[in-house]
Amino acid sequence: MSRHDETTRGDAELLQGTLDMLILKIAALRPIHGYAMVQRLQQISRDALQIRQGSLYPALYRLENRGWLKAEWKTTEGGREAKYYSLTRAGRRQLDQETAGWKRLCQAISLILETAE
Amino acid sequence: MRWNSWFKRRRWEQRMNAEFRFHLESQTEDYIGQGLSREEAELRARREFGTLAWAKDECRDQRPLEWLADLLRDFRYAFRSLRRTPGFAITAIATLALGIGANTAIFSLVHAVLLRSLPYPEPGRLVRVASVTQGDVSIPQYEFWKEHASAFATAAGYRGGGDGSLVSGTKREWVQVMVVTADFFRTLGVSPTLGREFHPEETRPNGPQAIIFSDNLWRRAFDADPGVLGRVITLENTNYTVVGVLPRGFWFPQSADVFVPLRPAGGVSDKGANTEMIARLKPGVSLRQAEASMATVTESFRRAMAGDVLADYRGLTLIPYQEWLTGDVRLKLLLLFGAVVLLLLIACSNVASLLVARLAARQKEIAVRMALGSGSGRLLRQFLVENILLGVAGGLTGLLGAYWLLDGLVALMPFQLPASVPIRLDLPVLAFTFAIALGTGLVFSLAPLVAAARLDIQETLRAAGRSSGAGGTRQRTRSFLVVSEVALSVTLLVGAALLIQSLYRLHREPLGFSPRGLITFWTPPSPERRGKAVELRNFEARLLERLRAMPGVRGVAAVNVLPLTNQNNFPTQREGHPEQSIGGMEIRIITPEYFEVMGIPLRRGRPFTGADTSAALPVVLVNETLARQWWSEGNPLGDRIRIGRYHGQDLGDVPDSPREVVGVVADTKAVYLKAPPRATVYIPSAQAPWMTDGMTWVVRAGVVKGVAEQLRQVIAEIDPQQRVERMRTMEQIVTSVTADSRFDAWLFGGFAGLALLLTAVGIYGLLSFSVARRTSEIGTRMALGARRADVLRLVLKQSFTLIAIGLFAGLAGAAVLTRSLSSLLFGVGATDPLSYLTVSALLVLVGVLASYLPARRATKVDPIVALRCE
Repeated sequence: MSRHDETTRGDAELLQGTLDMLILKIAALRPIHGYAMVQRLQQISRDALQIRQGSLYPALYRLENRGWLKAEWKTTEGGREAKYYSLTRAGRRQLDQETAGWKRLCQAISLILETAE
Repeated sequence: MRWNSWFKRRRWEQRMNAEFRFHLESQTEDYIGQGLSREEAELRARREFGTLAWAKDECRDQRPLEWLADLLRDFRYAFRSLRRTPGFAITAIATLALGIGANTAIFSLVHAVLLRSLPYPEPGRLVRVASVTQGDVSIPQYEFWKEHASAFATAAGYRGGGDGSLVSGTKREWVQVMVVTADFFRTLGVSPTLGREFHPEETRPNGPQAIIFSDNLWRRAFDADPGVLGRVITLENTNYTVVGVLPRGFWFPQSADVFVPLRPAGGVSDKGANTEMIARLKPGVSLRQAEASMATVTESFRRAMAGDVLADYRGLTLIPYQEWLTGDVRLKLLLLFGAVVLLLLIACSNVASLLVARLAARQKEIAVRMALGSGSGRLLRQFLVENILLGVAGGLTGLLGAYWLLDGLVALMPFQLPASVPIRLDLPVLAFTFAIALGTGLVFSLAPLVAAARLDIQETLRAAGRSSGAGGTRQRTRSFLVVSEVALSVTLLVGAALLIQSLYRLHREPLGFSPRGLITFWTPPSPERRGKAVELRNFEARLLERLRAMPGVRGVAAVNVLPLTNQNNFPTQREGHPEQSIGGMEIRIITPEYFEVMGIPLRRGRPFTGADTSAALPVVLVNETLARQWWSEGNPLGDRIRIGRYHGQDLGDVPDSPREVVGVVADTKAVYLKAPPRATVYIPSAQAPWMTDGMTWVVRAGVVKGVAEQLRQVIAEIDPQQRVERMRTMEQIVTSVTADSRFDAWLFGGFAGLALLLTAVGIYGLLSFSVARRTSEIGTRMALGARRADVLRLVLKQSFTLIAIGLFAGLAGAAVLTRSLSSLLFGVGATDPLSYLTVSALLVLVGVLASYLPARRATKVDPIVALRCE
C-alpha cells in the first residue's frame, strides 16, 4: 500500500516540469476536462507515459492558481456537469517559452548523442 | 473561521469532490463499455486513479492561503489530540509553566533593574566620582574635582538629610530631606517644572535659604498649588523659601520629598568623606579618557593640599552611575537568572523526553496516517504545531504564576532594587515570555523530530509495535536528555548547597553579645536640643532614670551606634606611639550599663561607673581586637590613647584629651556579620561633650511583648515632642543582616529543589518507558531462569549508568560555575568538598527512589504474559 503511494509521488516529482508543459499543450487546443485530459495524454503518448491519474489534478489546480489555466463548469455531451480547463493568455506565453526551451534541450541532447557516436 | 469563508471553503470542497466523482464515474462507464462488470470497472477506475485522499490533500495545498487554513486545522487537531491524553498534557504544561514562570519573574527583575536605562537624558554620561575604595568624597575633594576635572561637563555633590518636620502655616509634615549642591539637577539633566534650580549663592554659608519640593510632596501637602513658589516654610526650625517643584516621575535612588542646598561649613565635617559625588561627562568624552585624566587631577590635588593629604592618598575614580547603582544586585540577579535558565533547560528536556515516549506510543497512528497519504512534512508540521501549543499553554500558565508571585518575590527581597520603574510584567517582559514559550516549543520539538524523521513507516507497520531499530535511537535520545538533566540539577544543587552552608555558618557566627530580650530604639535629637550636648545629656539621664523604673525592665543602656547597624569611626593613635595609628577606629559612646545590658563580658580592668563624669579623669575601654593589636605583649591598662590624632598629626576639630585605658571588653561584631570584629574604643557618654547625635537605646525586658507601647508612653511623658524611631528587637536586627543570605539560599535552594524534582520525574519516565519496551526481553530472561534480583539489577544498572555520567558532568560544571558565587559565600569555599559530596549523595538517593518503582514493575513481569505480547 505504501509503496504504491510513494511511486505515485515519485512520478509526480519526476514529471513536474514536463507534465505541466503537456497539460498546457493539451489545454491549448480546446477547453477540456480532467478525465479527457488523462485520456488524451495516454493516447498521444501511446501509453508510453505512465502517470497515476490522481496526480494530474494537483498539477491542474496549481496551473489554475498560477493563472495559466482558467476553469469553467460546463455540461458535457453526455449531459453531465464537468470542470473544463482552457489556456489563458499568460498560459500561452508560458507554453511557448517551455516549448522553445524543450526544443533547444532536445536539439542539444541529440547533437551530443550524434556527435558522440 | 468566519462563516463567510467557511461557506466558500465548503463550496470549494464540494466542487473538488464533484470533479473527482466525474472522473471516476466517466472512467467506470468507459470500462463498462469495454465489457467489464460494474464492480470490476469501479475497482479498476479507483486503482488507476490512485489514493483519492492524497490527491485531495495535494489539491487543497494548491489553494492560496491554504497553509493558513491548514494551520488552523493542525491547531484544532493538536488541541483534540492533547485533550485525549490529559495526563501527558498536564505534566508537560505544568513542567513548562514552572520553567517559563520562573524565567518570567526573574526576567522582570533583570529588565527593570539591569536593562532599563536610568530616567535621565543620556544616562551613559553619568558617572559616580568616588574614592578608590568606592567611598564618598570630602568637600575639598568635591570642590577641587569640580573645578579641575576637564572631563566633567557638570558635577554635583549630595547627602541624605534624614527626615525632618516641615511646617507651613498650621500644617506639619514629616519629610525626607536631601542636601544637594547647586548643580545637582543640571547634572542629572532634570529641571524643575515649576520655578528654578538653586542659585550658587544659596549654597554659600549665610546665603539665602532655598528649598525645592518633589512633585509628590507638592501634591500631597500643597494641593498642587502653583502659588507655593516664593512661600516661606520652616524645616527643622530654619526658614526656607520655596524656589522650585520637580517634575512628576522624577526618580533618584535615594527618595526625598524636599531638597535643600548643601552648604560647606568650613569645619571638620567638610573633611569627612561624607558627600556622594556625581558628574556628567562632557559630550564625546569616553569613560576611559575621563578615567585616564583622573590621575592628573589627583596629582594637582595632592600638591594643592600638601600637608592635609595623607601619604597613601590615591585620589578619585569614576564608575558608570548605573553600574554603581546596581552593584551587588547585578551579580545576584544574573545568578538567579542563570539558575532559572538551567531550570528551564531541565524542564525542556523533560518535556522532550515525554514527547519521545509519546511519539513511540503513537507509532501506529503515525504509520496509518502516512499510509493514508499524509506527507511526512505534513506530519512533522502537525507535531510542531502540537508542541508549540504545549509551549504556549505552558507559557500562559507560567505567566499567570509569575504574575501572582512577582509582588511577593519583590517584597521578600531583603535588598533594595534600584529600579526607576515599578517592577511588573510589562510589554518587554511579555515579549520575552512569549519568545521563550515559542523557543522552548521549538527546542523540545527537536529531539522527537530527529526521531520522527528516521521513522520508517513500512518497518513500523510490519513491526506493529514491537521493538524496532528506530526505538533504539529514541532510547538513546531520551538517555541523553536524562543525563543532561542530572548534570544541570547537580550544578544548581551544588550552588544551593554552598549558599545554604554559608547561611548556616553565618548563623553560627559569634555575635559577641546576646540579643535575646533586647528592645532597641533611636531618639533623634529634638529641634530644641539639636547640637546642645548638655541638654542632650540631661534628657538622656532623665530618660534613663524613668526607663529603669519601668516594671519588667531589667536593664537600660544607650549607645551612639548599635552593632550590625552602622559605623562611626575616627582616626585614633596610641599616646606616644605615632606608628600605632588606626584611621578607622570604631568609636562607641555608651552609658555605663551598656556591657551588662548587652551581655558583653569584661575581660580585664573595670567597667564604667557613674563616677566617670566630665569632671573625672578621661577614661576609655578597648575591645580585645584592639588590645591584641596595640598591646600584644603588654598591659593596656593604664596606657593612654588619643582620639583625633593620626601618625602624630592632630586632625583638630575633635576636642578630645588623652584617655586612660581602664579595661578590656570582649569583641562584638561591628557593622557586618561577615566581617571580623574591628578595633573599637568605648567612651562614657558623660565624657563626650562633642557627641550631639541622638542615642540608640537598649532595653532588656523580661517579656518583649507590649513593651514598645509602654516605652513610647514613658518617653512622651518626659517630652511629648521627642520622636522615637526604629523601634525593634535586637533579634530583628540580627535577622535582618542575615536576610540577604537567607533569601539567596532559599531562592537558589527552591530552584534547585524544583530541578531535582523534574529530574526525578525524568528518570522515572525513562525507566518506566524502557521497562515497558523491554517487557518481552525481561519475560524471556525470566523464562530462561533469571531471578528477580537479576532483573532488578538489570534495570538499576541502566539508571545508575545514566546518573553517574550526569553526576560527573554536573560536578565538573559546578566546579566551573560556582566560582561566580564566591562573593555570596561565607566561611565556605566554592569548591567545598562537603557540599559536593552531599549533593552527590542526595542525587543518588533521589535516583534510586525514582528508579525503584519501574524496577519493581520489571520484577513483576509475568514471563507467559510477556511472551504472548509479541
